[in-house]
Amino acid sequence: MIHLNNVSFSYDGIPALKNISLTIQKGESVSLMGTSGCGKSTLLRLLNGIISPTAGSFHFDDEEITIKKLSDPVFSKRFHKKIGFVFQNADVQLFCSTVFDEIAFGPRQMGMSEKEVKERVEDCIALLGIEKLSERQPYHLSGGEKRKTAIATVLAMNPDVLTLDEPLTGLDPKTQRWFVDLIVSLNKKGKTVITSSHSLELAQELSGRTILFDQSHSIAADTDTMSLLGNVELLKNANLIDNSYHKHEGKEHSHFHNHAL
Amino acid sequence: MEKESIPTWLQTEDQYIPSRDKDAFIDKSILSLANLLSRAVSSRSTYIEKGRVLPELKVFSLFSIILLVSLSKGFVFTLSVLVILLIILASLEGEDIIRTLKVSLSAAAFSFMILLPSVYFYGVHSCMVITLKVFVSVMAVNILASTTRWDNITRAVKIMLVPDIFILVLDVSLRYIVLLGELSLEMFHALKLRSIGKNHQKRSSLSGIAGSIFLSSRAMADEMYAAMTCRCFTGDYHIRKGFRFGIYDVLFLMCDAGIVWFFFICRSIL
Repeated sequence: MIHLNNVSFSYDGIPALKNISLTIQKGESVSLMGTSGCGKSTLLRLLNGIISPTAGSFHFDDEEITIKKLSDPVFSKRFHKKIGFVFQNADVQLFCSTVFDEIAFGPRQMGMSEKEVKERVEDCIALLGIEKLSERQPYHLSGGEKRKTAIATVLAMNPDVLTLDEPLTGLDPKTQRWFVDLIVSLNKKGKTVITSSHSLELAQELSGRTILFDQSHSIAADTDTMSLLGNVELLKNANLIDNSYHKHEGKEHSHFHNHAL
Repeated sequence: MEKESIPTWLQTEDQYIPSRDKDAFIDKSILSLANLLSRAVSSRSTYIEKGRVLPELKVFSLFSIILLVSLSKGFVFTLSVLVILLIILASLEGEDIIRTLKVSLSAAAFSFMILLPSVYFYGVHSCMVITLKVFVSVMAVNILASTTRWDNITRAVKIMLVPDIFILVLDVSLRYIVLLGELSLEMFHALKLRSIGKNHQKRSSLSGIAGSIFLSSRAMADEMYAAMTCRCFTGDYHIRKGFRFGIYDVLFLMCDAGIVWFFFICRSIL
């Protein structure tokens, strides 16, 4: 479904991605991990057509995505319909007067009747548990509420691929857990999910496959999450953990985590 | 999260073919904001203070040149200053030269258009003199902007006895142009990604973005002022004490003195 071949990207000559090659199949759930500034967000932007590779090629559904193709409005709209992006800063994604209108923005553009739009919006509102926010102004919501609204706006367009840029940052532990469950459920129902995250504790539950970026903006590992989390040396080399990182094993489950020093 | 709570439509693919819409304004806005930010960011990250002259001296010279050019009569003094400025301009990078000339010529052309009716009453001479003065003044300002970092300029205006509140507003505004520009760019990107069909309410989308940026800028300004207050800011701007004059500063000062001397010579002759 998604194929990157030797993709590189740089901002004003400063490299952000170097020789990235990867393939993501339909229905997969993939985590992007790495330290801040390693290129996770840049990769998500590239996958969403916000930026284009300075070298290499990007294929989506067996079709190469280029600046020229994205300048064709019909192609661009069809592409953006298929891949939804939840920005790291939910504020930038919300610009309508009410939460309801915000979620209805996509479906209304798709030419649906107002009845269908209402049904779709109400489904999203129920799914995200934001019934009380329906008539509120998005700007005045809390961080977690904004994040939920932003996800609802993307889900309302029913994209095939869902890309989320650090969706768990700034959320309380309970809401983080709630989000992980939602992402897992959406993936189980057929959505391809690509998530960037710092959380090692939640990575193993978010997805079975993890792509680890090192500080040279390249892929250090692309493997199943459990074996990656067990490779302490690799995680140390990627500057993601320190010596306090270890594993607890109990009767029911085992998990990796850091202790506060 | 129960699996059953995922609605059926979300589990199937939409058969959707988008229609054309006149929304080129999103791409144009993204492009212009990206250009603005690219200029601002590149000047922030890679810019090295050009020349070896104290910024305070450069700002002082700018004010002097603008004042003397405004007070001068006829072409001689203004043209002489123009020659000096063109020599300085020639030492800058190509991009800076083009930008400076573009802005200066635009300002001069605008002044000429405004002054055009006065030709009928006072002849063409006054109109040309004022247009030339505008050209020289705007060029001087642009040369300063191209060769001096903004934070050094705001620091330097302190010695011109400019009130602290003005410096604060100038400093904060310049800093937030980039931040708010980045925020606007992100919002336009988000709008583009969600513009997957025909948007019948383009104006309300744009006003929504403008409203969010306004609210964000207010919140950011409040937070920044609170943070400054927590760090003991009481409204006074302090500048570094003492100047370290180098040979280039002395030469620059002598050049300034020469310009002032030439101004009075021109006045006595005319």
